Amino acid sequence: MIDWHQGGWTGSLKKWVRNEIRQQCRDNLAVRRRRYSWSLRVLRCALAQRSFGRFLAIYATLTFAMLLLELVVPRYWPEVIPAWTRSGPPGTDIKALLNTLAGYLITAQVGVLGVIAIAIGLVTLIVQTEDSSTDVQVYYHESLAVEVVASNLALLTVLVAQIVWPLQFLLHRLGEGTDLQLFKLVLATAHVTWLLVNLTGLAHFVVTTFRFVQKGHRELLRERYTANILHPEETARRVTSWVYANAGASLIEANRLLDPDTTITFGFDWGQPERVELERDFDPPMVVHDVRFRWIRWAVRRWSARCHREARNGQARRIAGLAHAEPKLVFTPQLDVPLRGRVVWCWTMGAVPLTSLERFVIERSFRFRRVPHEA
Amino acid sequence: MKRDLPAPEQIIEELANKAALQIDRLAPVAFDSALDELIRYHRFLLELNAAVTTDGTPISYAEVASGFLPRLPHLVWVGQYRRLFERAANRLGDDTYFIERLAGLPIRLLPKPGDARQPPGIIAAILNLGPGLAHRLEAWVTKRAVIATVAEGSSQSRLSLAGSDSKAYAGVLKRIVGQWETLLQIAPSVYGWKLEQQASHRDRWSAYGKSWYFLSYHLQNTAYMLATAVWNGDEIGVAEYCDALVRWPEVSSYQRESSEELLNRRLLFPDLLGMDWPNAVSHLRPNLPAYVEEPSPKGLFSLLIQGAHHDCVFLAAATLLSWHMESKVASDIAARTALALLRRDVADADSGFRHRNRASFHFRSVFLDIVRVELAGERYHQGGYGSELDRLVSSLDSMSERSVVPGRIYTPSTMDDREELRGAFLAMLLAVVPLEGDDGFSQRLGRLLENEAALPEEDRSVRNILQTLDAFQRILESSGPNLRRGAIGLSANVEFEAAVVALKAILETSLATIRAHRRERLEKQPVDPARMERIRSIMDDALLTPPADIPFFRGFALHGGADAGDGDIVQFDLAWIGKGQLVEPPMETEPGSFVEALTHEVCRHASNRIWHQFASLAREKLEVSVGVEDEAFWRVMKSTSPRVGAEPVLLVSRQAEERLIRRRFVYPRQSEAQVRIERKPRDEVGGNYGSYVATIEGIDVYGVDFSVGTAWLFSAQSLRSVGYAAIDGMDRHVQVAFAGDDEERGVVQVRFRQFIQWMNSPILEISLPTAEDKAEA
Repeated sequence: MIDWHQGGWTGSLKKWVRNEIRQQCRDNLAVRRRRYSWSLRVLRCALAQRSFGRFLAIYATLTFAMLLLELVVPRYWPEVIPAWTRSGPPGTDIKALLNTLAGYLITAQVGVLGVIAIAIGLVTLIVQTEDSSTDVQVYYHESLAVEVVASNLALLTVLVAQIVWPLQFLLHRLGEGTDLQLFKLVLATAHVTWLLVNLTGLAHFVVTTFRFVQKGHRELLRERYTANILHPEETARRVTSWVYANAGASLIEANRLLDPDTTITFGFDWGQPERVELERDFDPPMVVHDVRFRWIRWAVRRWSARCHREARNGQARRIAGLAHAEPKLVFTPQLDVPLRGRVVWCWTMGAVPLTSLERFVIERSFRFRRVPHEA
Repeated sequence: MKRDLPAPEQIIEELANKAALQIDRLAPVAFDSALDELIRYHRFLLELNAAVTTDGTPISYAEVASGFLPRLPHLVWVGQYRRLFERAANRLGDDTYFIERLAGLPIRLLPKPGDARQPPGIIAAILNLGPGLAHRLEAWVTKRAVIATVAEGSSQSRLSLAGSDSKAYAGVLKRIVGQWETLLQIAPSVYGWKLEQQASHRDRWSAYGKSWYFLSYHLQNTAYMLATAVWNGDEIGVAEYCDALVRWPEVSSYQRESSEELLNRRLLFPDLLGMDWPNAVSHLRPNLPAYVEEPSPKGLFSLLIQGAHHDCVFLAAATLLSWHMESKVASDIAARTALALLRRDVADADSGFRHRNRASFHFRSVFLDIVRVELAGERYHQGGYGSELDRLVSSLDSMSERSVVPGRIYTPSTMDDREELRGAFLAMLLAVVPLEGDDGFSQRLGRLLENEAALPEEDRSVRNILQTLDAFQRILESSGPNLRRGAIGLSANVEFEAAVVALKAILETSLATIRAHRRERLEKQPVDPARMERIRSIMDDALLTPPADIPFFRGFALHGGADAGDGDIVQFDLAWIGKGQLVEPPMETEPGSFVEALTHEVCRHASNRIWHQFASLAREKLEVSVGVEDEAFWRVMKSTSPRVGAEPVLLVSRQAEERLIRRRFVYPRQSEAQVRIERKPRDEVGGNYGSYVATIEGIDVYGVDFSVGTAWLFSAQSLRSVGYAAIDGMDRHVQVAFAGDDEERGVVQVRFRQFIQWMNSPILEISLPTAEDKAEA
């Protein structure tokens, strides 16, 4: 019997599986041994799964926020901007300083990209001799190669674009903003921080690359990747399908001696629907993304109790005078399989129908979403 | 990007590719390195997926898969080694290093002490690598072997390898078998047998229990490897695997302890290992002498393992003999191996072992082995030792399956369980049956069966043996050439016809003895009051639950109790009821519907009384000049029916009028008749749906056994009430007793007091025109 409490107050299938896998990973010695270090987790948090466009988008958000502040703060709260940020005599020429800094940063970035190109070339050479395509995929993933390159290129683009601070220039041309360089300084600090993150990423990349050529470290890399990335994802996928397919038995507790066996199936079609309960037009195509089993259990138990009452009262339908037809409640959608056009996705057989309240609850328990990459 | 990442099976496949490449290059060092990498990753995946349930049972997420034809991940991982086996076997003539290294795979993949525990499915998959390797080796042998005659001038032929191949194969096989046997040595450390002296019996027993599935798979796979060699006619393989199977208990080094000799080993089955220690001891109690308090876990475990080994060898021998009998194997290798197994012959020149373990292949011993196999558990039972033996037979015989086209439906051609080995069992008995006497079998069988409590399923076990002996008799009656071939295969000098006669006589005597013993016990056994009360209670409920099989009438009251009325006590007998079904535990196999059938009979009798009383009520006569096929008849009925009351019912003759009505009104799809016809659903018609014809002009028409030309019209509500008075206490409306306490069959006597009340509505008896009348008209 599955304890649906693990899926939260709705008994969400996805949440149930997530908690189950998290618990297993917490208890499993092999997972614990191969868990990423905290520093790597921080680095992955900053870089992993981010593309060139995403980096630029994050930076653009920051820039526009600064622009907005530069527009609003000097007008309404000019006193909060410190005077030392003014450029030129008697203080330091901050404008010139920022330009010089940009030059240094660009130089550093170009150098970094050169190192990456050499490292990738080295790995490609090894791969060609060893016929290890999966290892290379693991290497790219674990070294954060794609992300490091994307981040460095994005920073380089940003630095080149910000040599003339185009947005601030536009603001000043419109007669807004201030001569105080506070906002440019904030952005310059962001550039330096970003460069430091990139250098850390580069260090990780280079270390991973040099270790990759050693068999022992390659095995370690493979195991770390499997334990941290592959295992949770793969296991969650399989367990989700299994739990969904076998959830029927965990929803009802029938008195086996008195009541007819009630069958509830998920993701399995018994053929021609006998009594259509729920039908829907799936245009555009959709997939079942999650199921709220605690809600379904409530509705199903009500329905099952009515079926049993009817059977005890001797009103249940018989087949050729032999036995009661066993009540069946069938949910036809399979997880992550697209549903297209008009689909009867819930029907009953040999039983009392669902009430409108039960239908309403069940309809809201199934969470559909559009099929990715499909119109 | 995340979706493009490699899955574990892709990684493991690539690692296997690397190892395979090194075999092709004949590079042992690089191969070792690639194999180490593969095994390390495989072990890591197994550990990664290991978990335990809340009650401590090991599970693995690698066994989780769903959907149509699910692919279990761990089987996909293990499947990668098949390619390596094939490559290494193909290189056997060049270098045996690779295959020898691969033979050590199971021991390297199995969990070590301190590793996460793995469930039986994972262990089985790893141990199945042994048979997988054996298959590949046999494929190599059959490719290289040539047909040679046994001796000059002999018609018998065998497969044999060329000199250098034969030498290489024999050498490598010894090392492979050695590695396979070494696997058994890890069980004590992995499963924690070597507990401290102060460890409790419970803990020791639990440790032994956890290792059972490992030992069982290993034993069965050893037998399977032997069967593979026999199937392929591989003499070298047969000699090595046969030795491995026969010497299996010695390799696993179990020691007997003295007190365990007091237990009857033929009644000990490994199902005990699934129980906790106190439970196991209580199950053993009837098998122990009174002065023995309890056996030691180690000694008992040793006996169980030896028993399991004995069964495995016996069933393997029977399976091989059945191949010989059905000529599935061209040479006599199957019969020779079966005989070697039964005698515990070993090819290895270790006379000490031979002396210690040579089994006597004689009638009593073989027959008692058959009895033990039959006692091991029911067919079709899920789980349990019996189903393990069935699985063994099925897996051994699976290689004789013909090739099939996927998707087509075929009649099974291989054995599924022990029962299908009965022919081979008989052949064994015929080979050793004494022409005079029974080698003390009847006496031993009697002693085995007299302590019924010690049998695994008490009287049910005895019934199973009776069924087996019956089946043996039937097979002997039609003894065909296969039986002769089997018996002669085991003993060339057997006088077959005389042996059949002798065996028939022994079977007859044994059956008569067991039956007499059971009859005597049944006669002494009283009928179980609780069982009788259960039957009574079900009958009571059925009589007071509408519609209680009462035909035609609806809306009547059905009640029981002291004020139900004062009708006469009715008694009727249900004859030819087996007493064995009424004792506890039952001594007859109860049909699933036994109680239901009795209850139905009681309800039918009660409703017959109601009907008879109804039939004796006064009826008004009505003559109608038109037949039921005429629409005018129904106009008359429509106008007449209000007289009888609500829900009118018309009963007509089944032989004549019912047919006319059906032909005229019911069968035609588009009737032109000007009458209103409908079919009521089953729920509305009630208990006699079978005789319901249709509802015409609002009258329910039924076909009954009336004489032709007679019909009754009455109201379905004519029956006001049916009551059952309490006759034996307040809530008991039925009395049930069994008469014939000292016989095998008797009479169940049922008594109740029924009280019937009728409405004052008229009943019309209608005379319909006969065929002659119509002809005249």
